[in-house]
Amino acid sequence: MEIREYVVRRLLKLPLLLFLVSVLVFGLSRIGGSPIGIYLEHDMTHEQVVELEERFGLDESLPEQYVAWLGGLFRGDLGFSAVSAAPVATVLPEKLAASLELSVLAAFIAFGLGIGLGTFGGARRDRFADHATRVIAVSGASLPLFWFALLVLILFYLVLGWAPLGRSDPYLYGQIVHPTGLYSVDALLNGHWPAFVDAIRHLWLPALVLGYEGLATITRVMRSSLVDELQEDYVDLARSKGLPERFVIKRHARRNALMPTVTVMGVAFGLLLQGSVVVELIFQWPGLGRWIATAVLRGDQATIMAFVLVAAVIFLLANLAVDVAYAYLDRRVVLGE
Amino acid sequence: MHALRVRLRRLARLSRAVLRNPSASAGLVVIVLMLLMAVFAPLLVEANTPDPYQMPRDWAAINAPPGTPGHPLGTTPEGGDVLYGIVWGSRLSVRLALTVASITLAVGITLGSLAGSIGGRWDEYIMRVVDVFMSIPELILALAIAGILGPSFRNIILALAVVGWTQYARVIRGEILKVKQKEYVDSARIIGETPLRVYLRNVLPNSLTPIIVIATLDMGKIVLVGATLSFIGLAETGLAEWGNVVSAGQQGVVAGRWWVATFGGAMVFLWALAFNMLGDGLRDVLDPRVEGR
Repeated sequence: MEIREYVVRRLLKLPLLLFLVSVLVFGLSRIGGSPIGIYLEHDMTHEQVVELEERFGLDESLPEQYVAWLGGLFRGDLGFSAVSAAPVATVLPEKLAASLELSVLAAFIAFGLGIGLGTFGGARRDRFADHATRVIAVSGASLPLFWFALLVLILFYLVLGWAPLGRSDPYLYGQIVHPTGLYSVDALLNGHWPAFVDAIRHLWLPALVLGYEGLATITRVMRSSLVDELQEDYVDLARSKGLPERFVIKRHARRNALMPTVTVMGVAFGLLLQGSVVVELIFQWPGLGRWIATAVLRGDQATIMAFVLVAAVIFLLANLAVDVAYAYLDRRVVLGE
Repeated sequence: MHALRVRLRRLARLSRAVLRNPSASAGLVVIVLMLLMAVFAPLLVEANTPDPYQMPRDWAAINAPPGTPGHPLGTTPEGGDVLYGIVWGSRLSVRLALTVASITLAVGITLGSLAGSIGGRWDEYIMRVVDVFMSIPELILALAIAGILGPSFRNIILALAVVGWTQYARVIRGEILKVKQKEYVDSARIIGETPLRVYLRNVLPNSLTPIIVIATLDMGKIVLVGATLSFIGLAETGLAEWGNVVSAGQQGVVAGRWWVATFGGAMVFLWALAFNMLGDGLRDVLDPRVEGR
């Protein structure tokens, strides 16, 4: 099957999955208390409560409520976020931008550094450098991210004083205009050097912590598949031709070792998404993660539902991209099944 | 009778192999110590009354550093004893891991078996449900469920049970599809065994091997994710649970009170590390292809 056909078929399956996810998310909101619970006040009259119930369509059947909710989604009405005291659709873009800025850097750390470290360790099997990278690789699966983040905070904030909390210096932040919502990009667009330095100063540490779990996963897979590749015959052939070892690893073995690594990138994306909740909470980063963390404590259903939907869409698209990349890299894959 | 003896002998051989694997046995030692701590918690630290799963509050010694008389590991901002939270927290971790693992195993094996054995339309339905659950990162779905149900440790258990069964269903289904092709399954069918009997005696027992490894790793992950949820604040305030202890110490970290968060989180790390080491060791023993990695 052609790659294009495979991609089209995966794209056609996407709406069905998204529809089922929306049913699941809607179902979630009906397992808890009443969706209007969070808006109720003690001094409301009976009429006001009835009016609220009608606005949420609670007098209708569940399928009708679902259709009304879905219709709202398509009109850009994601409900009212009680924790932000504003419509979800208004708050979402700026939170998304803040999280995106953090996650993009974290993804570069996880994927770029992970492939580099895995290659570095795998090429020096059982030497000291290998053992050192394996500590990172193995600890990633067991380290509670919230604990790791707090330990890093103790070291870099408390002891060394190298990293500030939050996302920006409010004064510098107010100095520039924000066309994209990504603070570091906006600072560059404004040509405002101090603001850019401020952005990076706030960004690097939470991004490093957020990227760590993904980094560990990628490093582990990259290392072990490079070790496997280096035992293959074609590597011996390349070496016996007199090619320098660096060339053998870079041009021959690493290329093939990348295949299994690509397959776990979807997993790494999931780790980034869920890790953002804890990392943003601890580093006081004003993104989606911290938003949802406050929302779950108050049972703010509109915010929770919007977040789960956004996370599912990002995760599905990321996994689709990973599968397509894999199919493209490895033409031997029999696409479709 | 003979089959039983063969199985027992195989089990003995496997356990010897596991014990020879250094990382697996190290993990096992830590796990046994944790279990002993959970069982003998009342002997180590006297139970709080009326609720032993609430940390006792010593309002005369809030934010006490480690080494304070009566509070060897210090106290939280509410005067909760950190050592108490760690010792009695092991009980809640054992309860969390065992409850969630047994529910998800039962549901996952049942649905995965249905999908793999019956196939056809049922397979399609069950696997679509699995797909939907897997379209949302596990922690996020669990967070949403626990958040909507309201903050309590019971709801954390419930949320993790709802989310965790899909991996078992997928793996069991795949194994059953493989095992069904085997000749001994055909022969059992040919001599006239009922499908249920073939499934219970021939198919299921031979499909369980990868599940053992996954379930071991999962025991670590369940506590990791559960502690994350209670760190975010989804357990009862003052609960003697590791993630909750870290949560109580989170604010203090910035003010220099490092001990509450550090000790609480270290227990979660140790627990997860121990089960990961045991699980990786089991995988090496059960699947010789990946040995030596």
